[in-house]
Amino acid sequence: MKRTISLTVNNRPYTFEVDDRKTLLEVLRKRLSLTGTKEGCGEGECGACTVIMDGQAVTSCLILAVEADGTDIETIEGQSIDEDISDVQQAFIDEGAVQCGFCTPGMVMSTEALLRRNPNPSDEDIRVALAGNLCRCTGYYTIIDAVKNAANKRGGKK
Amino acid sequence: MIRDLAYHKPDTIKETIELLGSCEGKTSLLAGGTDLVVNMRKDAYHPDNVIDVKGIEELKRLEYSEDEGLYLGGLVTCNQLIFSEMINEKYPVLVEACKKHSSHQIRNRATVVGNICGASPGADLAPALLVLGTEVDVVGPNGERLIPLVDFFTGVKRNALEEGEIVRGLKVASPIKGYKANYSKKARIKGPDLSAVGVAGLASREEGVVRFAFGAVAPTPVYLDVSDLFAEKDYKAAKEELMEKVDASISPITDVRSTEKYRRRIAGVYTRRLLEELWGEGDK
Ligand SMILES: Cc1cc2nc3c(=O)[nH]c(=O)nc-3n(C[C@H](O)[C@H](O)[C@H](O)COP(=O)(O)OP(=O)(O)OC[C@H]3O[C@@H](n4cnc5c(N)ncnc54)[C@H](O)[C@@H]3O)c2cc1C
Ligand code: FES
Ligand code: FES
Repeated sequence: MKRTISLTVNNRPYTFEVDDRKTLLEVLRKRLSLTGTKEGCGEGECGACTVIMDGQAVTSCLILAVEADGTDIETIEGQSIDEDISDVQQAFIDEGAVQCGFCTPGMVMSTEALLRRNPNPSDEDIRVALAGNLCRCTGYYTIIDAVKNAANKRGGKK
Repeated sequence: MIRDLAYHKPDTIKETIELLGSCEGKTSLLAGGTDLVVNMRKDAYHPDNVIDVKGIEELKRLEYSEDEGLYLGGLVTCNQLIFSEMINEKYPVLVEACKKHSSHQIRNRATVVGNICGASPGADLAPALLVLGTEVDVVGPNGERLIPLVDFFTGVKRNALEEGEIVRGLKVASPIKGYKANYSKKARIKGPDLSAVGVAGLASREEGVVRFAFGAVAPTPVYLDVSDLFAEKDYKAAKEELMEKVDASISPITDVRSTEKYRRRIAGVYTRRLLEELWGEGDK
């Protein structure tokens, strides 16, 4: 079956028809061509598909697009305007927290959601917030450094 | 690829029950979807109809009173419990269990009721809710009923709901005076993973209560109230008997997460540690 949904993605309102069985991830990537959000496992395990939905980090592979009707979605594309990238993205570059980059959009979205609810996270808070984001390349330490760096720059740390 | 389906989003429980009665083919309720959508994507399960319950205000209830205890509505997520001051104060064991459930992103969606309704043998919320004393608040075409949580699990991924019924929420008993409780989980990794063994314990010296519950060591969660043992016998004898009881009550299997032998051993080790932590050494 199909139905019409309305949602906001990166501050832009959209209304379109979707198939009931499509996931939010499929719609973001295929329908809206927002391919920054990645599909790793498709089962909620890897976090590559993490987006922010109504302020909360969620795995878009386990959400039907119809469930996103009326919600506010933020993806990695919304984190930068042209060359002007976000402080979190800059911190990932500065700390060498990006290798192949496949996990990075999800990592950045999880970090963004964390820093909004907890501007001054402890190491443990960071590990808990990112435990659902897998990385095959970096070994994680540089990613944790990047989150701390971004928190510092945002003025969370005294 | 998920197979074709019809999605419904009712606003009320009444409408939901009507839909459950009128939809043709297989019909599933959808809460956080972290169990259901995984199964649909794997093509392990393909409902013809999906009824999303997230539009039902009544299911969002999360309330506590001294007399009535806790009401935990069908849509309350694991992260809501983790971040609730009230739950941290009154039922910290639920926070402990939620923190050991999946990852932050999944916990933003995963509901406690979905965890219970999925009736996985290893469902992380089951042991903690069992030791606290929980009833399942069910509504269906023939009215309402309360099912003790112990009786709700009827088999691997099977629950006591009858056709057309929906869980409105969980009623958790008021905290027992002077109680302490905790949940220990063994998984393959420190990060998110389904449990190989889960043990919850609750004890109150003041009220003479000792309870344990176990996940992932039998087809359904196992509940033991051993208060009488500790009232009748000295600590050492009661503890010994408890350990025997645990071993006799569980029936673990070997699978990808653990061997039968290891599960048995860990269930015992965690029981002993929790007993020492919650009840303490010494006489009765
Ligand atoms: C990556 C990942 C990690 C996970 N880790 C864990 C873990 O560590 N521990 C653990 O225990 N589980 C884990 N799970 C499983 C799952 O997340 C949990 O069981 C979760 O709590 C299910 O809740 P939900 O709201 O998402 O349920 P849903 O998927 O929406 O529903 C689950 C089942 O319950 C039924 N249902 C839902 N609500 C109702 C209702 N109100 N009345 C009647 N039936 C209802 C549905 O029809 C379905 O059959 C994990 C899942 C994923 C994807
Ligand atoms: S693709 Fe969604 S969690 Fe892996
Ligand atoms: S940088 Fe390659 S997966 Fe993380």
